[in-house]
Amino acid sequence: MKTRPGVMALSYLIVVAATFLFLFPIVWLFITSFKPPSEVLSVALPSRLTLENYQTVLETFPVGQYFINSVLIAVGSTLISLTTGSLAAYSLSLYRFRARQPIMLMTLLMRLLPGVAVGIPLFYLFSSVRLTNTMPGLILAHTAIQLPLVIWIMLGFFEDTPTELIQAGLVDGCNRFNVIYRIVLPIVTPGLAVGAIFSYLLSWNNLDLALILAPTPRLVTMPVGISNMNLIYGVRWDLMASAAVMYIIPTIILALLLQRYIVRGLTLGAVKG
Amino acid sequence: MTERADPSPLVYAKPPPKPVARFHLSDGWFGFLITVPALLIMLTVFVFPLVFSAYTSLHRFEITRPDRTRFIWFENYATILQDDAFQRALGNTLTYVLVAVPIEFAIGLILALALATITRGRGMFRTLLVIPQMLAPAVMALMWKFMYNDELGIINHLLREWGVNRPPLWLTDTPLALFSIIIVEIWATVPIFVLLLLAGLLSIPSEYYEAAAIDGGSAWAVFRHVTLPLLQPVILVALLIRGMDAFRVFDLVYVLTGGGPALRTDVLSYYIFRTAFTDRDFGLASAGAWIVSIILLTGGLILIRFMRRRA
Repeated sequence: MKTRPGVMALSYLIVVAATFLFLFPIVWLFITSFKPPSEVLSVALPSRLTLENYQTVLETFPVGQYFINSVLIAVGSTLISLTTGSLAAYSLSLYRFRARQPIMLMTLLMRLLPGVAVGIPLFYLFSSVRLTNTMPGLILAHTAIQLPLVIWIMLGFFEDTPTELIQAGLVDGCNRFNVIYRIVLPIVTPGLAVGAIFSYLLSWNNLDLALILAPTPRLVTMPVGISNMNLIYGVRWDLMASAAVMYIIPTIILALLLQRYIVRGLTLGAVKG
Repeated sequence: MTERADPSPLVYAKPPPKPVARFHLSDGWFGFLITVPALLIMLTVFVFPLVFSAYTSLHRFEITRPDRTRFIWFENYATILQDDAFQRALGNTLTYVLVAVPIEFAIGLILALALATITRGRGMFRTLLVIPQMLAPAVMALMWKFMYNDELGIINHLLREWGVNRPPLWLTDTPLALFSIIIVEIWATVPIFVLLLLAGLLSIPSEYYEAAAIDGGSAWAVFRHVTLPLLQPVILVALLIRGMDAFRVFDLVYVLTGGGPALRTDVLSYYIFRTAFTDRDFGLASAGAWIVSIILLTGGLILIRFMRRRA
């Protein structure tokens, strides 16, 4: 169908304007973080760019520690949820057994529940087994919220894997674990990467569970640390901006790696993209 | 172990006789067993706590005095439903969802249509639009809090330059603060609608449009009778999922206003959080959490039924 030039021009205008609007807050954050401290109070473009704010924030706040905590928790939980979750997804896509439907339903519903609804009883239960304020406790909690996402993302990828290959492997004498290891894994490697990035980001961005389960200063993660900086030092926007930039650069890199698959992750496989 | 000892029903229509003296696991059991690690984590760290909180919600509970716990039936539910603060949080949450989601959808649809129309740079714009919604809500809230700031924020700075003498105090004016949070929600979520709707739009076969063009339909008629009906499943799924996500909002409120001013931006998740960790009333908080969970589970079941019917 031919599009009239007026409509085409309007479309470009809308797209460019929207892209500007949606990226502006992020760009403004970056600009603020590179401002010299003397210009923080003026709402204008900086006269020169400097890394001073980064230096100051790293010296005055344990931002490095927050960052390491976040990385450790996100990597740890991603490793667990990716291995257990993709095994489960493989099973759910290939095998038929009585618990299959209930498990799928459960994972789907888990995604809908608010963090505080799980966080509050989890806080109480973790206290009784001494898991509150521990890294393993937080990793475990994040694993639980990542699992539904990993399972549904991987389900999509496993369903795209031709079953003929699996059958051929079984005929040729692989046992069922060997089939997974030698045939299925190499095929779904891109899927594993997508699942890993999504679950990494889920943990990396999580505020409520980290806030509830690990209030100790030692275990503060980036999102908790940054929101606390905001509560305590509401005026030092320059420092907060540089901490925030350090926090979101990994996110932006991962988001760009992921953009082809993002629709699948957003809807838990409900709408395939 | 012999190589042929492990025949699978997937391969043979009729399985050959099994070796007698060897343990054999059926495919169904094998399938179930490899879900067990994930299942165990989900059950112990997610499902069990929820069940436990149902139990808690029927008790008067004091975290510092476990010996004083006692069973009080549905009293917590009765208390919370009559609580003014809970009702206000519920009202705010509903306003939040019902204002934010339709606007997000409308802007998202316009943008998706524009993106589907343009021929150059679609991939690039799509990539750029992916970024905002991947950021942590805590950071989104932070950068908007900075932009909303009266003295240092760019929004009021620009408004003053354009001649507005007393620009609004975005996060402290009472009727406005909730809508300022909604603006951030819209900013964060429109790209998601764009990605979903664009995927839906691009999957409509061009034959439909060609047929419509031959029949001489106007652009509006084509949109109304071709695009919208074909897009309808995507639209419904997107609205339901995003509606439920907005219903759970916590991070944005926590960072932007902390429920203020005077709890005018209190939402359900934040109310529950406060009840549990400021007021230390776990029973009441659990009751609140269950009310929210039941609402969301109902929404989820509607979504699943709808998806099943489509499949």
